[in-house]
Amino acid sequence: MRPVASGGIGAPVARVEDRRLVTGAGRFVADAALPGMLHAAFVRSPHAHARIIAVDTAAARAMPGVHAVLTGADLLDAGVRPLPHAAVLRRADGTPMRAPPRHALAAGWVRHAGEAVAIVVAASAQTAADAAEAVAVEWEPHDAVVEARAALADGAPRVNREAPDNLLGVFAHGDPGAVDAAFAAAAHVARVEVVNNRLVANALEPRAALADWQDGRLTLRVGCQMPHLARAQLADAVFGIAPERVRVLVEDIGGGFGAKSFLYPEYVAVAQAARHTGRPVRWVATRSESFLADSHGRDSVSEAALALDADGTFLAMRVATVANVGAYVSHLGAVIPTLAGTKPLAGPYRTPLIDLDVRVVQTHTAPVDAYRGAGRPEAAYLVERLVEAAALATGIPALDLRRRNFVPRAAMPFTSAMGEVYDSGDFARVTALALAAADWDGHAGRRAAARARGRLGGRGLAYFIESTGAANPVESVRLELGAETVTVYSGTQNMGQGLETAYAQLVVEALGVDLARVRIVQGDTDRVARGGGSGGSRSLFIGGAAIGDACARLVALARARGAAPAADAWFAFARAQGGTLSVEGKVKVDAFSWPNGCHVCEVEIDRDTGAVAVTRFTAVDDVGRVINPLIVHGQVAGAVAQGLGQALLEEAVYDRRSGQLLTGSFADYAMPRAGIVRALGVFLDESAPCTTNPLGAKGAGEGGSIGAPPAVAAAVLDALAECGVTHLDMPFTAPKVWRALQRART
Amino acid sequence: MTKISFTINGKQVSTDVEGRTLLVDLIRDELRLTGTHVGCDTSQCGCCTIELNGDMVKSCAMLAAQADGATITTIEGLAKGDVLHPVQQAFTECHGLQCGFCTPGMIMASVGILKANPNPSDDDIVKGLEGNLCRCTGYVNIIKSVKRAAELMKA
Repeated sequence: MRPVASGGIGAPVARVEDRRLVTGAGRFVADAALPGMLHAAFVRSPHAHARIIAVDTAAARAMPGVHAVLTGADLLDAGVRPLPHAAVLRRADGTPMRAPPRHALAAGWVRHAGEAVAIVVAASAQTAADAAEAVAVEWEPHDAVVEARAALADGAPRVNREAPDNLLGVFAHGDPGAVDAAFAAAAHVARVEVVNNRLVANALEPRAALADWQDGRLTLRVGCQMPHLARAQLADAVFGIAPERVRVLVEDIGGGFGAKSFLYPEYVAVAQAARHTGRPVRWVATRSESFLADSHGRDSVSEAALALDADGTFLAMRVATVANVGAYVSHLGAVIPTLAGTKPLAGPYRTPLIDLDVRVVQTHTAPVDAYRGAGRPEAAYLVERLVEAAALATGIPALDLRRRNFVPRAAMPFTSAMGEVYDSGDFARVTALALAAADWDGHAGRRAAARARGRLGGRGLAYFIESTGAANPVESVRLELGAETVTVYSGTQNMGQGLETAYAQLVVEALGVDLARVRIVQGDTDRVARGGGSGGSRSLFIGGAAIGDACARLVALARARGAAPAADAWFAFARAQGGTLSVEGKVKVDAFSWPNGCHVCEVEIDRDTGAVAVTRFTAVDDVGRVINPLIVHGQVAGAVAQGLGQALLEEAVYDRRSGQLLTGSFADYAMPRAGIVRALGVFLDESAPCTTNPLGAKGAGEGGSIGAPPAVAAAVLDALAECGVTHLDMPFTAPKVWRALQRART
Repeated sequence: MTKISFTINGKQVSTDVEGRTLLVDLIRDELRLTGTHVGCDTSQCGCCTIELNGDMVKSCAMLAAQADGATITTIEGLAKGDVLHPVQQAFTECHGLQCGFCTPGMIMASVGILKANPNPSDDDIVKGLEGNLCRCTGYVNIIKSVKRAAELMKA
C-alpha cells in the first residue's frame, strides 16, 4: 500500500466542517436574519386540478402586520417569466415537447395539490400564515389523474393543453428489428413488470429562501446545490436581468440529494416579494409544504424482457417504460427517465442488443426531478429484477447468469448496448469480494436458524453500474496562495457530503501544506466566478481534478520564479513574492465515470406480520480512487439506507380520485429510522481506478441508493419463494408482504 | 402576552411571549440560538431536541409559556469553551454527521441516552433515537458515535 501523506489522498481525516455543525454554529438559510426582514407564507391549492376563477386578497391585505399579497396575475404584470426546464424530448409525431408554463404563482390553472397560488408577506411568520388563510380563492375544480398509465388512457383528465394525450415526449434507443430476431431465436425469455415507487427526498432541512433586492440587485440566500445555475435561471430566464444583478449565496445545506439542485417557484416569488416591498423577505417551508411542493423522485413502471440462449448468455433486452414527470417539467424532469437514467441500462453485462421505449407522461402530481441516483436506480432495479426472473426461467442460478454475462475486465474499455463506454471495472472480482465479505455460503445456516424461530430467511445479490458526471464536464477553480493560507474558490457545492475536507486533502497532497491552512470557498456567486454545482456525483472527480490542475499551475509558477517550495515554505514563498499569488485551474472531463458495486442483502420475514428485517447488508463498491475512506464509507452507508428506505418503507401516494397527497407528513411517509440496518459491511475496492479523469475517482454519493433496492428485492423474493410468491413491487411493507403471504396460502 | 423567566445555557432570561408561541421559535427567533433546528411540523424529526429540567424534550412540541421557571440547555450550551462535550467529540471522530442538520437534536438525544444509561447496547441506542430522523448517515455511524461517547465519558 502507498504511504498516505498526512491528511492527503487516502487519509481518513475527520471532517473540517464538523466543528461548527456539532456546536450549533452551522448557518442554514432559516438561521439567517436581516434587519427589517419580513416573513412569507404561501397560499396553496387544495385541489389537484382546478381553474382559478378569482383570488380575493383584500381581507388578508387589511390585516395588521401584512405588507403585501402577490398573486400569479401580479407576477405576470411585473413581467416575471415562468421557470425554465430542459426541453430535450420530442413527441411521437416528431414535434418538440411542450410543457405548460410553470409560473412561480399559478396563473389561471392549478395542476397539482399544493401548487402555490399567492404569497403573503408580513411582519412575522405567524402573521403571514394567518393572513394566508384569509386569502379567498374561488375555484372551479376538475377531475385529476395521478398515475402515468391512467393518464395515457382515452378520456383521461388533461394536464397539458399542448399535449392533450398527456404524453410529453418519447425516447427510443436500439434496433427493434434486430431485437425481435434475437427474441425469436432465444432458448429462454424472461419477463418482468416492475414499478419504481415515487419517493420524496426529504432532506432534513426544509427548503428556505431569503431574498433582498436593493438598488436593483437581488441577493438570494438559498440552500442550492448549483448556485450558478440558480443565478442563471433567475437572471436570464425569470427576471430578464443581467447575471451581475443577481447574487446567490449558499451557506450550509441540510442535505440536498438532488432535490435542491435547481430553482423552485417559491424562490422566485420570495425574490419578487422582496423587490415589491423593498425589504428582505424570508420563507421557510414547513415539512408539510416540502411534501407537497418539493420535486419528487422516481415514479415509473417498466415492462421488460430478456432473451437468453440455452447456456444463459444474454442475447437481447427489450424495455418499455412509462415515466411520470408530474404536472410541470422541473429542471431535469424530462432528462432523468430518458437521456440520463438510461445510460447504464445495459448494466454490467455484455447484452449486445437493447430496444428501449420510454414514454414521459404528465399527471396532476408534484413535478418529478433528481433524487439520489436520478434514473440510474430505476435502470439497475429493472435489469437486476430481470436477471432474477431469468434465473427462474432458465433454472440457472442468478449468480451464475451474472458471472456468465459480466463484461470482463480485459474487455475494458467496453461499449455497451446503450452505446456508452465503460472505461474500467472488474465486476467478477468485486462480486467475489462481496460473496466473501457477506459470508454468502454461510447463509444456509442463518436461514435454518431463522426457520427455527418461525421466520423466513432470504438472501439476495445485485450488481449495479451507474454513470456519473459528464453532463456538465467543465469545472474551474481559483487558487490563492496567501501569507498564511491556501484558499480554493470552487463553484461546486458542499451539502453535507464532505467536499470541504476532501478538497482540502487534494491541496495537502499536491502542496504538502497542513490541512488546517486550507480554506475552501463555495456558495457565493460574487466570490466564485463560475461552476457547475454539485450533482450526479460530479464534484470530486471534476471539481477535484480542477484543484489538481490549479496546484500544478502554482508549482509551475514557483518553478518559473526559481523556487520549489513545499509544506510551510509555500507561505514564505508567497510573502517573498509580495503577498498573494493566484492561479486558475480548469479541467474538462468529458467522459462519464462508471462507479459500480455488488450488494448482498439478507432478510428475515415474520410470517405472522409480514414485517421484513434486514439482518445483514454488505456493499462492496468500486468508486475508483478514494480520497477520504471515512467520508466514502459514510456516503455508501447513507445511500444504502436511502435504498433500504425505497425498498422497505417509502412511497409517495396520491389518492387516485381526488389527487390529494396521502403521505404528506413524517407520520404518513415512512422514513428509515435508527436500526434500519444493523449489520452493515461497507468495503471499497480500488483496483480498477477510473481512466478518464486525472484523479481516478468515479463518484461515490449515489451507489448505495442504486444497489440496495434490487438486492433487497432479491432477498425478499428469495424468502417468499417457498410460499409461492414470485412477484412484489416495492416498498416491501409489512401489510404488503402479509397480503402476499395470505394470497399465496389460498 | 405572558411574562416568563427561565435559565438557558446558564443565562437568566425574562421575556413576554404570545400564548401560541412554540418554545423552539422563542429559542431560535428571539434568543437567536439557531443551533436548535426545525425539520418537521408533526414532532417526528427530533431536530429541535433540547434538555429541559434534566429531560430531553422536543421544543416544537411545547409552548414557550410552559418553559416558565425551567432550566434549559441547547446544543450551544454543551461545549465548555473550546472543549467539546464527549458526545460532540464522538460524533466528529466517528463521522456521525454529514449535512449536520439533524445533528444538534441527535447529540442532545444521545446525551439523554447516556445520562440514563452510561453503557447502552446497540438496542438501547436504537430505541433511544427512535424520535430522531437522519437522512444522511443511515444511522450506523451515529450508533457508533454514542458508543464512543460512552467510552470517552468513562475515561
